[in-house]
Amino acid sequence: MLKLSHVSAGYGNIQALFDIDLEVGDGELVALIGANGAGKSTTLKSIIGILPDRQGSIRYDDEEISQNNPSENLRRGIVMIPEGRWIFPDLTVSENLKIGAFIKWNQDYIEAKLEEQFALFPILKERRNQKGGTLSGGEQQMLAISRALMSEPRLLLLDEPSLGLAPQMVSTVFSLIKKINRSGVSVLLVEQNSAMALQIANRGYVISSGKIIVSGRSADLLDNPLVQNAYLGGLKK
Amino acid sequence: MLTQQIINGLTLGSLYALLAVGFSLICGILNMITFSHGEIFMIGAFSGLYTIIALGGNLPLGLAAAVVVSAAAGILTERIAFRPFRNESPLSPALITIGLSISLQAGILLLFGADTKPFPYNVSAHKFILGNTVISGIEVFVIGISILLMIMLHLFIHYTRWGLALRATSQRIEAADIMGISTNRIIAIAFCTASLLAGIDGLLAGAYYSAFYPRMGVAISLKALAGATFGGIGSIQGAMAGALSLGVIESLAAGYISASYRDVIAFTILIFVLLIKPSGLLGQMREEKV
Repeated sequence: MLKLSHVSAGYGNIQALFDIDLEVGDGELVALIGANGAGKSTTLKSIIGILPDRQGSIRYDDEEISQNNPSENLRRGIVMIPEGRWIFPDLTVSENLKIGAFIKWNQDYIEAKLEEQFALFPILKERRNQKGGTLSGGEQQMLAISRALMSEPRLLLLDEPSLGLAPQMVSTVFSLIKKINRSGVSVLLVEQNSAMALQIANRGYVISSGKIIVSGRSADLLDNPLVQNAYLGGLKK
Repeated sequence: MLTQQIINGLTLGSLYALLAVGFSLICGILNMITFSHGEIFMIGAFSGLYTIIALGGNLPLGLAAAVVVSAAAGILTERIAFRPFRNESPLSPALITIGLSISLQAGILLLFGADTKPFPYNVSAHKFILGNTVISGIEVFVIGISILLMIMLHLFIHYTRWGLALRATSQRIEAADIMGISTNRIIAIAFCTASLLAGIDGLLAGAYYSAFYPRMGVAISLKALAGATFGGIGSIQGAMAGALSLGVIESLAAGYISASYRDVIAFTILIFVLLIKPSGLLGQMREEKV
């Protein structure tokens, strides 16, 4: 469904991605792992369209989308949840969710979607009139995921969802991602927590200094000594 | 005497408020200040005045002309003075808008002359007398229109799709971008709204003082900016409250202490409030949660 071929990208004079090839199949959960600064977030930003300097081809449903802006990609069903969650701190939980469906604005649609999300996340229903900025880190991550689901995405780009969360919250978030994927949404998951990411993913890519160095089925990557030493802390799963 | 001063102060404060909310809208979204807002006010006033004269006294069309011309000027200002410098130093837009403000004053001076033009109608003819307080028709009109516009602005910002997008954009522009909000359009809407309010305000002020002249927006826009800062810049309610208080403080200072020191007294109070609460009366310090 998503296919990147020979994608290069950067920020001004600094090139961050070199000739990336990456694929996400229909219904697949794919992990993109690597060290800090390896180019994981840059890859997601290139796909969603907030990076002006990019070359190469990005195809989605066999359509070239490398020149699209985020709004056009959203309409096609690609949604990104950025690192740091980017909640609107002074909007209420409900308003944050409504913004998630901004491109599909329609009162009935929004009401129905809100109820759906509140059923999925009871904590958000409880806090619906609270400002986004007053939620805990874990609740904000729930809100960010829920907000992304408001526009019925088909492909979810998730950037470091476990960052800054308590260990228990991390497993909650990971099982949630798995659950969303089972409901039919394809996921490209960027994580520093490589072991956990590979455990829920079908396939994985390892990125280092802006290049894909290894890729394959998650189980194979977990057994790969190179991956184990560099990204899994030298531990066997 | 006291009620009289308060009524005068509220009229003055209403005139400040319509400009102050504009500063707040723009600053809230871009963290930049425009210095040609007073000239948007002035060209709104002139286009209103000359439309009214040309059409033999059609007030609603005069108001419409003020709205259209000032809104267009505001959108143009954003295009040339703000959009090219979006991620750069806020000094560039400041300098360009200062230049724009001087050019607009000079342009109007060349077109219409330096002399002060009166409003062609006696707007103080209707008076309401309550005890020993006299309220003129124009005061009721200025306060009324200002309240009406503030309510409309509040409804727009809090209960419409574009208002929600505007609030989202002013809180986190990069997040608004990935939610599919066209933030360029939102910024243009903010400038358009701020400017049309300024244009209406210009016509109201010109009629109230019966004085239209090229520099009519200079002092009032600085006071409005002070009022917006006083109330907490970036917050619409703060700007309204700050501007109204500044008007009332000025008017009370003029009535009870000294008319010549009204500005000194008003600004001294402002400075003290800001020393105690730097974010302004209703401004909040925002904390970031990890």
